[in-house]
Amino acid sequence: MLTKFANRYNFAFLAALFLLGVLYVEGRRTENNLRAANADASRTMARVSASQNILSALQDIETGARGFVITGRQEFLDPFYAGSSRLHVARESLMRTLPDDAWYQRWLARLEPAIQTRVQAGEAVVAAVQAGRPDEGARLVKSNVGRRAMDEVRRFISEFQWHEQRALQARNAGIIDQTTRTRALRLALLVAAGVLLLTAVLAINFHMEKRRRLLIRAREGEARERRQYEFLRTIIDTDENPIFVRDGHGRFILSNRALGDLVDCTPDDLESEAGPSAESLAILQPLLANDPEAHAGAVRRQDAVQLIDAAWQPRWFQVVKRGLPNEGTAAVLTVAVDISQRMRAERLKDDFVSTVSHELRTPLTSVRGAVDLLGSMAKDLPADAVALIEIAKKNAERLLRLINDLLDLQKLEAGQLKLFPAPHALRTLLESSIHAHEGYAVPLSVSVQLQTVPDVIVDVDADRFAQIMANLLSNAIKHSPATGAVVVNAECIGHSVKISVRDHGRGIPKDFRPHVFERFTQAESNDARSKGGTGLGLAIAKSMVEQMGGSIGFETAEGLGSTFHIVLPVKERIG
Amino acid sequence: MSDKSVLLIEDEEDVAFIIRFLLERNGFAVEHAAEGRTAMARLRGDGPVPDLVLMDVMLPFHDGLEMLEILRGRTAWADVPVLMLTAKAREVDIVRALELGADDYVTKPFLADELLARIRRLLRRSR
Repeated sequence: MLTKFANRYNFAFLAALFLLGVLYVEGRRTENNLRAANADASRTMARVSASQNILSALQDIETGARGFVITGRQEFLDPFYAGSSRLHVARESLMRTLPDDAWYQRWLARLEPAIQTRVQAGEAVVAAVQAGRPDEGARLVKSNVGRRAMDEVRRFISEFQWHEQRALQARNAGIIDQTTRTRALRLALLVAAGVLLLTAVLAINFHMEKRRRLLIRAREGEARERRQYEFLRTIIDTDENPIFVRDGHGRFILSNRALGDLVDCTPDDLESEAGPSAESLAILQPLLANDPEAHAGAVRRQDAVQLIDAAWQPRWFQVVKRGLPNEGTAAVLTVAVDISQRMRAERLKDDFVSTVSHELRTPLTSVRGAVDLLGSMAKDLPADAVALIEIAKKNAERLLRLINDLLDLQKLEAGQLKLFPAPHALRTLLESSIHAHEGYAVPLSVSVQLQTVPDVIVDVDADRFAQIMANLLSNAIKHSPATGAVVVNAECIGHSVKISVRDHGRGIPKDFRPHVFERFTQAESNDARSKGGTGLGLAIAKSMVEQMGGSIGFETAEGLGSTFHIVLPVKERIG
Repeated sequence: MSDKSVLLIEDEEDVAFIIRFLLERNGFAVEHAAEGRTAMARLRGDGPVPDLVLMDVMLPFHDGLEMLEILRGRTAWADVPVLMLTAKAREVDIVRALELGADDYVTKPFLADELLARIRRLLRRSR
């Protein structure tokens, strides 16, 4: 933890602090020195003044003694005695302030006797006069003992003062020296501290600048993120399919306007802390189901999920869910493709088809019925009329077939053709198909033969199977030459049976081969017999066979004929 | 042999004409109700019960299936053979009619022979 603070700026700060400390200590030392010097000087002054006092006191003594000798008057003794006591005080003061130095001891040793001599001389004079022997006193004065002593004292004192003065000067010079010395150091320290502070300031500024730039970058990054978010929002809001991401707690992390419209909310309402209202959740429930299963990262699809929206309209959706493991706890993305239009259109189409079929059939009923009845009155009609009736009959049939084929194809394409499969013996089915077409084949001199049929049972809708076979057979018969043969054959291949219908006609031209199973396509032919087809037969047959779980195909050779085959699964074999 | 009476409930004029033509030619007495309200009145009324009812499923004002239910609800009419005529191609409608009590159905457009054959078969059975 402390290593966080071990950077050079903190070291620099500590160094500056240390330098300042040194400066402080230096300052204190100088201050103490000065104070000591001051104290010393005042003591020196005291000593000097004490020595001066001694001198002046001695002078007073001398003056007093001399005066007394000369005049013999008492008042001249006052200075003498005053001087004596002053001398005593001054000597005391000097003793007090004298340092314990050898020089001072030696000097004192010389001064003392001189002072003593002088004082004694004075005292002797005064004593003599007081004793009534003024001549002795004068004689003593003239002997200059006192004066000589006084001169000595004066000399000593002056020496002392000079000595003190020199000492004072020396001390001052010493202090100045010291101060000058430390000044350089102090300056250096000050400069160093200044430099450190400057670097600290620069460093701070540098970092502030860096921080400012980072802040700008961060803000730009944020702005960019926000723009991307808005961009994403715009995209998903433009999509008319509800898109949303929900986390494991059921919170809407992301939603779009289309989802909001379902429940009459805004995406913000759905994504808010409180989430959507209970009613909204109830409406959306079909889209929210199966969420937990999708969190593994797999994609799940649901076709035709229905819900009733806030406007009480039924809506259909094809729902795709994908787990988003990186977006939060068990986050799941749901995209609900709105297929309501399609479903509604299909329902309309269903109704339309069934209405149309009814509408078309009704007049056809009348036509066919009338023509039928006319036909039964043939004997009462002229021959021409009968031919015309035949034409009407044939075309009514053709119209009916077309309507039925269209409806069948419509149902097949919508996946709505219902098959009612049941087990049937294949042989029976084929035999009845062939039998049903004898009426068509015989007038055209075409023979239909059933070759080999394995004894198997197939699970098929008998009517629809017959429809398929009718298609293949009628085509084969149509394209067979007179006296030609159509051969029906069946063989087992694995778990399936392959039923072939072979004709010996002209075969299918190369250009037409890719379009054989398409709607409303018929091979070009001048043959009158080819006409009358709807062009839907093979398209229907293919669709129907495939719905039965089988396949359809053909082989053909120009000039030799064609073989159409269907392959169906076998339910079981018998025998 | 008295003529067998057939009650024909069919709103299409031409189809009705053809059916009537066909049936009368084959010895049936045809009574025609052209739309739902008349038919309903006839079914509810006290008139003689016909030998066979030939009824279109889709009729204005009253649904053929609805009338079938009412018809079967009346004791006098409970055993009358009913042949439904339907243009509807959907199996579900046919199945519904049969479940409600129709005895047979013919899809339009029908063949005259087929219609006659079915009528005769129904009459044979009810005898």
